[in-house]
Amino acid sequence: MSEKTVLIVDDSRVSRMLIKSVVVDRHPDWAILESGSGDEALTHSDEDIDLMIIDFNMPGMDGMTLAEKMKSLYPSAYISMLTANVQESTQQRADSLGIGFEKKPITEDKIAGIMSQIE
Amino acid sequence: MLSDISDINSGMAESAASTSDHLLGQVLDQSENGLFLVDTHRRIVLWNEWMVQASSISRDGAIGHPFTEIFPSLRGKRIESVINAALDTRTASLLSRSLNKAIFPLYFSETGDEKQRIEQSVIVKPIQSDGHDYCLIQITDVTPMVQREGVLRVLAKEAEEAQKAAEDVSRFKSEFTSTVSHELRTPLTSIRGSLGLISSGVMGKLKPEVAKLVDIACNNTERLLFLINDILDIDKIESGKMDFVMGPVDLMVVLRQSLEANQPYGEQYQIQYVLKKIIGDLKVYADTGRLMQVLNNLLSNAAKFSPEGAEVEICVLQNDSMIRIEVKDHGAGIPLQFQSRIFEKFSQADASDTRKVGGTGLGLSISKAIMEKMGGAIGFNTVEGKGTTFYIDICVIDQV
Amino acid sequence: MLEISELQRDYITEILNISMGSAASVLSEMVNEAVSLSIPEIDFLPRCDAAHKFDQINTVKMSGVTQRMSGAISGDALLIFPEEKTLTIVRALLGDTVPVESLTEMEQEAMCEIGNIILNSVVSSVADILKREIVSSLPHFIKGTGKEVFSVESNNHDDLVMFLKVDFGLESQSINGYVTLMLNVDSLHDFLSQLDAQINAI
Repeated sequence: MSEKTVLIVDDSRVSRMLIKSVVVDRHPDWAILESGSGDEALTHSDEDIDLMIIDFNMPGMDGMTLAEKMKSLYPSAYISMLTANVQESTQQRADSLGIGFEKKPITEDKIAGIMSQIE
Repeated sequence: MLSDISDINSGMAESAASTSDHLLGQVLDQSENGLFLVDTHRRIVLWNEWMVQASSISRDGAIGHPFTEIFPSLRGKRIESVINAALDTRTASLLSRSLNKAIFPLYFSETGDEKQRIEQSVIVKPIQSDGHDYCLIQITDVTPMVQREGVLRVLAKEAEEAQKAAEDVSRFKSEFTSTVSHELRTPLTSIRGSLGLISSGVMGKLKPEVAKLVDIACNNTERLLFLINDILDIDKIESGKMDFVMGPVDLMVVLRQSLEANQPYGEQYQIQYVLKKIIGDLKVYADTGRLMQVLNNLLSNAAKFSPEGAEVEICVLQNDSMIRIEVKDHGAGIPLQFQSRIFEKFSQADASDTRKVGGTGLGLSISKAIMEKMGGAIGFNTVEGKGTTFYIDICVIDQV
Repeated sequence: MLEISELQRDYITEILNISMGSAASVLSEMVNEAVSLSIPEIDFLPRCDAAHKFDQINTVKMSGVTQRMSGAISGDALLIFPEEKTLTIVRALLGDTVPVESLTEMEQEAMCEIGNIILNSVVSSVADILKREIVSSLPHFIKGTGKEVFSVESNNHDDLVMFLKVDFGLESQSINGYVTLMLNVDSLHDFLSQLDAQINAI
């Protein structure tokens, strides 16, 4: 398995810690980038990113808006949205953008499922 | 008291195992609410008479059967997850009627073709007994509440519509008044202008009889214009559109200005204004222009209703935080039967008075409205045959 | 105000927001409209300080829902909004347009259910963190000034209040309300140590 770069975007540090630990556990050689907000995430635009895990509910730029921007900046990256509140409209929007969708709370299985998209 | 749930069920049958079971069974069956119990296997283990009647499912048809078998239409619905929550995490829930229309398929037993659905409010509660977990479901018939609510809504809607209609009428009336007044004013101003030119002699000297007639025409035109202004004032006050610029006002300055303005009036009626009592350097809380308007009204009224050669006395008195300005005349006083109407619109003691004293009959009602809007008051004391004292009360700001 | 660390605050917020998210999903599905719920602020205050906080909203009429808790935590849980906002929420969710000035009987019942869903989710999150059981009573409608409504609590000097600001998001607007839970000093200590244990396990 080649090295991949994963970007985790979530305003909760604890969430980021949790996701990171699951990823690192399974793929210790993968590079992890973290951002606490949409604006911060966009500063990584010069890096090579394979997988993005984005929290939907963030102050400032929400996850979906960020995901749309990232989709055009990184056409080959796999993007997955995490959310506590699954609404049909959000789900449809994600589907139409070609973005994955997972319901919080975060579990190992769910992260594993996301990672399998780029393994 | 009870050893087994089956005892409770049999308690609801005629032949019961024990008296207490029978009694408890009777209590449950007499309940005006639906009561049933579900166990951890999601099977119904208790089913009261209300449930039998409302669901048309007998006790035997319910007891021991899975909940979702009895109510297949409720599989996957909120009630199912709420029952699971009660059994798994001991969570109590309320399912209100308005957010959950028609929860269980329950009907009133009616004769006739139409089956009437029972409107329901449902409470789901965890119960523990003998180390076993159960879920109690209580169903309340809220059909009367729904009906009351329906009536309430209709009435509220009607009230809202009536209010809107009243507001529309009020607005229309207000617009009508100001439009009409403006429409009346324009030609009157023309008439006054023309008459003024004629009476001034600029268009040629007038014969005395002609001059007299023109004078009468002028006066009445003036009178009409005053009347229109007064009507507009009243309309503005009533619709809350009159501007009041409230602030500290030097009372003596305004009073003296008003006296000066009314001097010619006093001369016309051959009376003398006398400032009997004053308080120097007094600031009151008022709108200067409007206060002047009220003072003018009182002073001119006093002149109008005084006998020739009399005095009109003005006094300024202080009572704590209020100032009272009294205007006293020695006229005929206000007749008793008229006293209660004096501040009403178009009220003058006698129709014949109107022609004698002039005025629009609106002055006092305007003054009253103005005083009230300024947080003050207006009133009078009168003795028939002796005279009348009109007074206004106004808030003092400070005394220098 | 009790000092909790940045990390502890982060963890509680995340957990509460997840369960509020679920509650919002449930509500959304019930009324077929977009509903969002989040908790932008959390404080732990001694009871007298909490009462002072209510002083600011003292003269505004509040209304909402209360449930009595027992088990690991005992006391009242409150969910309250300024009265006219409660009206807005209920009317928006029921799709009502009737201009009745205060909540009708049926609307109060609906508010009780809404409150029940939200309070149950907050309480169950706290119970999860404590790894103990908390049982909630059925919801009751309450109404009064901020101060009146708050002093529905029992007079226990050891009481601490978990004070949450709640954002109730409807299609057209977002409404601020409050959730308060009464804790005692021991419960709070348990709560924080369980929190730390769970954070360290990550």
